[in-house]
Amino acid sequence: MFDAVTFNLALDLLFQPLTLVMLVTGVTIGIVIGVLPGLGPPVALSLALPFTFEMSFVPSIVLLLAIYSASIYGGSISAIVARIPGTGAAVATAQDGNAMFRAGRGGEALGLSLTGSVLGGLFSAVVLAVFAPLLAKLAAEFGPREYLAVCVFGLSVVVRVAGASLWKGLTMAGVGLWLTTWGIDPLSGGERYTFGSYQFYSGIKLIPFLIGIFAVSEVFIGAERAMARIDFNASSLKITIPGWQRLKDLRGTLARSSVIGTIIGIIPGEGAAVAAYYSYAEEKRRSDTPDEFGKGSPLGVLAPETANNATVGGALLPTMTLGVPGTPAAAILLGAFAINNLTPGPMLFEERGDIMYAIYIGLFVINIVMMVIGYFAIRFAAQIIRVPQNIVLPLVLLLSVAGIYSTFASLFAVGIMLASGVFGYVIRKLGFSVAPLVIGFVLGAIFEDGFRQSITTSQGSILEFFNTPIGLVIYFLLFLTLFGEPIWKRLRRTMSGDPA
Amino acid sequence: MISQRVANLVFAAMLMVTLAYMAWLASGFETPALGGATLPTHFFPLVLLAFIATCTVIYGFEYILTGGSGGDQGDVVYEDWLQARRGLFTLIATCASFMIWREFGFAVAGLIATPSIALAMGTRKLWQFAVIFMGAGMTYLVFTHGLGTQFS
Repeated sequence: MFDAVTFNLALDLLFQPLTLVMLVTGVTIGIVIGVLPGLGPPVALSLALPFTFEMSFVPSIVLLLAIYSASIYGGSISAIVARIPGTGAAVATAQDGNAMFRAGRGGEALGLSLTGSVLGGLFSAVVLAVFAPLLAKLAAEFGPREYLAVCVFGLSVVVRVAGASLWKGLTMAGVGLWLTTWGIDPLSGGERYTFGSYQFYSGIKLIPFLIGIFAVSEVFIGAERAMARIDFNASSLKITIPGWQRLKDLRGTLARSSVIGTIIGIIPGEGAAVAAYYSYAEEKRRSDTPDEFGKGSPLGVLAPETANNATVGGALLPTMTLGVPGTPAAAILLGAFAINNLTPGPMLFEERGDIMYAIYIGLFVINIVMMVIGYFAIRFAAQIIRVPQNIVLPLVLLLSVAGIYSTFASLFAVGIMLASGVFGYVIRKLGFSVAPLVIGFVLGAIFEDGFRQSITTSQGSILEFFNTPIGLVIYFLLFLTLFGEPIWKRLRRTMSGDPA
Repeated sequence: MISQRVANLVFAAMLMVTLAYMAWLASGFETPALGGATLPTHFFPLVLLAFIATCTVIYGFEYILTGGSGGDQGDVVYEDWLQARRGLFTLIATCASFMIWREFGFAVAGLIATPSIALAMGTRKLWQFAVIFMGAGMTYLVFTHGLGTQFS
């Protein structure tokens, strides 16, 4: 499995001056963007993508991975300091983190958040390095039915990320899927929703759509409260990193949250926010003092922050091996592969093992560097929250427009981005969750291709879809994901003799 | 300002009209006779449109019968006129800037877009406009000189 020659090649690629500069720059930019309310990893990655055009693959992917990891962590700073989660992934942190901050324990909360983020990230990097080659080997056996099973799995999580209303969530998942049918039908060559314009032949492109949905709609939402002043007591900003003994005491939470985050990252479509919530809920459930959660519990900071950063390595697993992104941010990372004419999948592991090793090692080093930069830059990073939103947001919009135009050299792509932004704004105002829309859009094309090819190879029999051992395992995992928890709860109640 | 119930019902009605139109378009998709394509080209779009319509009808009925969906009974879309004005004016200014770009080129749009968007957000202080202008100028320079982008 381990190839020392490839490993050395990867080290050579990684420890080039440009790559190291990109690594440090990426961590710094990621923390800054993560701190800014509303601008999460997808926005940060979208804005950075055009800057990778002139670079070779390794420096560009290192830059993007550094931004991805650091922006998730950065979100916790504004959540703790001002109770304004910089990213969706930090929402679970805001309550306990800010309660600790207001009680004069801000340094402890910031230290736990940084340590948890780094350890979660390191754990997921190791999982990625160990399991990605194995999954890539398995993925080489994948046909349409297996890809279909993966998509069904990914789409099923819509039920969990649908927001308050399941039906509204399902509506948006349907819209996301349907939008991927625009353009030339890849199987038959027929035109669908091209409106007589060749610009629509290749359908709606992923990156303008994602930037519109995340960045542009956030600008419109942010504009509504752009003039609100954000302030906090800066004297509580001295970070306190937990010592060995404290870490030993917290090892259970760290281990559970790292595993939860990595697994949720692997599931296509789910993201850091879901992992953070899940991990927070799990720690609260296990705690002897659940009442302390929400009032300044250190575990209420450590658990979500460990889990949300652990999604990074997890999300890269299906992205690199199957080309199916684990999170919306990972979907944008696919753009970096495309720019360099690389197709994620088993073949890439076969042909460019050095690149894959560089990604594993890079992700590991990024987390170490994040610890150092995060420690020293916390005071500066926290001050960024005070920059008025009415200055930040027009510039984010401008960067989005310029970035898309620079990437696609097309006003049409800018139009798609703005249209997606307006649509994203409308649905967010009406209480729809954008996650199902994005999941549907990311998985739509693979889902339709998988379904239609499966129908073709099975000569019209749906039952044949399940005539695949790998597919059956995936469907079984899907069953466990959807019904495992209620079944397990019921079993536990039955075993403990509690009829309720 | 504007209840979620009214806004969602209007949205659901508009969505249904759009779905009907898109279904009509889809029914006209032609399937070229290429090998291996057993399902017609319009199959997936139509199935998905039917799925969206079903979900829309269900959540629409939730709003009609219970006054809300997912516990948003009594919620409003905008808390006040000021909030609505800032969000909607920013949206309008952005779309107008895009139109100006299409018609008159990037330079004109660039000069108008950032200050008008900042104005729509409620910016009134001169120094803030100056910072935004500087940021916009730097972005332009980075893209044109650093990345070689040629804005038309």
